Amino acid sequence: MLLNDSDEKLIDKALNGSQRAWGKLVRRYEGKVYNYCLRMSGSQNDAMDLMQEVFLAVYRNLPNFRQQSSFTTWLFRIASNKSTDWLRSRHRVPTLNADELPTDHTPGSGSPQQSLQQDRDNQHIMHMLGELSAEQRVVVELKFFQHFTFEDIAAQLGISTNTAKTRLYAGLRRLKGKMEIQNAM
Amino acid sequence: MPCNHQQVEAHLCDYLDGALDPALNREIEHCIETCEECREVYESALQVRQWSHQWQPQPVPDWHRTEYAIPKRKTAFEWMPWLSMATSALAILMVVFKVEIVSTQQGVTISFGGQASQVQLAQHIDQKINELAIKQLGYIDNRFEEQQLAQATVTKGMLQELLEHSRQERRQDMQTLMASWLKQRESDNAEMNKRVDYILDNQIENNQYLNRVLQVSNTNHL
Repeated sequence: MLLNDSDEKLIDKALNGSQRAWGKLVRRYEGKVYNYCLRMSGSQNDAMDLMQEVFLAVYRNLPNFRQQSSFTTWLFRIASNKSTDWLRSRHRVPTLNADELPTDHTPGSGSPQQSLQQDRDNQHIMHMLGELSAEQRVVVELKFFQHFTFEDIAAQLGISTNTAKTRLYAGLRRLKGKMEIQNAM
Repeated sequence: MPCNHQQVEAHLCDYLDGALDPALNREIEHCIETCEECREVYESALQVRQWSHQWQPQPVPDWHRTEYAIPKRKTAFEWMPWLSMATSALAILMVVFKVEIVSTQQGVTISFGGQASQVQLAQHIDQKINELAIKQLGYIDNRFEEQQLAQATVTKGMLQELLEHSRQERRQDMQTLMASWLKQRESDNAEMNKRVDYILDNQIENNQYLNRVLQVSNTNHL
């Protein structure tokens, strides 16, 4: 029964060639990864590309996964590297593209007004995160949205915990400044 | 006491989570209350934490989750390239070894090296040419019949059109003639009436003259 299998079991099965197990593992984490990529890129299309890159890299590196950390930590290490590379390769800090605002609504998630408000909230969050540098944004994302410890974040990004904290602090300062500007407008 | 930003930087998240010991907690609290910069960072952290709760998870669009993980399955038509290659090789060999396949009334003859019987070949060519001639004759007959039929149809159409045109012209001529004749008749009638009136007028004058002559004559006799 794949439904309740642990990540480790699914990984073992996937390594033994079970596509079903791999599909199950992907389905288990694709929502988190997709939303992470969406906040990092600010665009649905880019988020899809980024997410596919992440899972492709995970699949290729699955034999190297030593299970010394949790699969989630390892997965987000790859996701962080990919998203940072992606942001650097574009030599920019992406901001929200008005044409690519998310329009999907989860059926039954509430009234149209609620959905609209939720969309606006998401747009606002992406817009504000888009004001941060790639390094700051990754740390803010991993700390506040993925709830990793500074040790995990440091391990994922290959930096010290102090550097991770400094980036978070700088990012929060920058966000505060941007929020004040936005409130003033 | 001056604010130690680095301490806030190091423990802000633990402070937010309520995971600090009371002494350190008080220090951070003091920094937040007294230092504007630390307070801003703290407020910003609260805001971001609120965003993480506000964020409405977006559904993942449909995508091929295992496409890159699936080893290519052998398709039903995987032998097609081999078949194609074998056919090409056979064709090349047939050319190289001059394979000749001759179909005659007696059956099919296959020979190698271009040594097919010349007589058989000539017979075969004659037979094929005769068949072709018969086909051509039949084709020509058919074409002529079609051509004749088409010509007759065109001629018939032209004649019908010509006759119709002629009838129309005749009708117009007759109408013109009738109109002219009626006009002439009216004119003749008018002339006749004029003459009759003239004669009548003359007759009346003559009668009046004769009456006067008779009166004069009667008077003289008396």
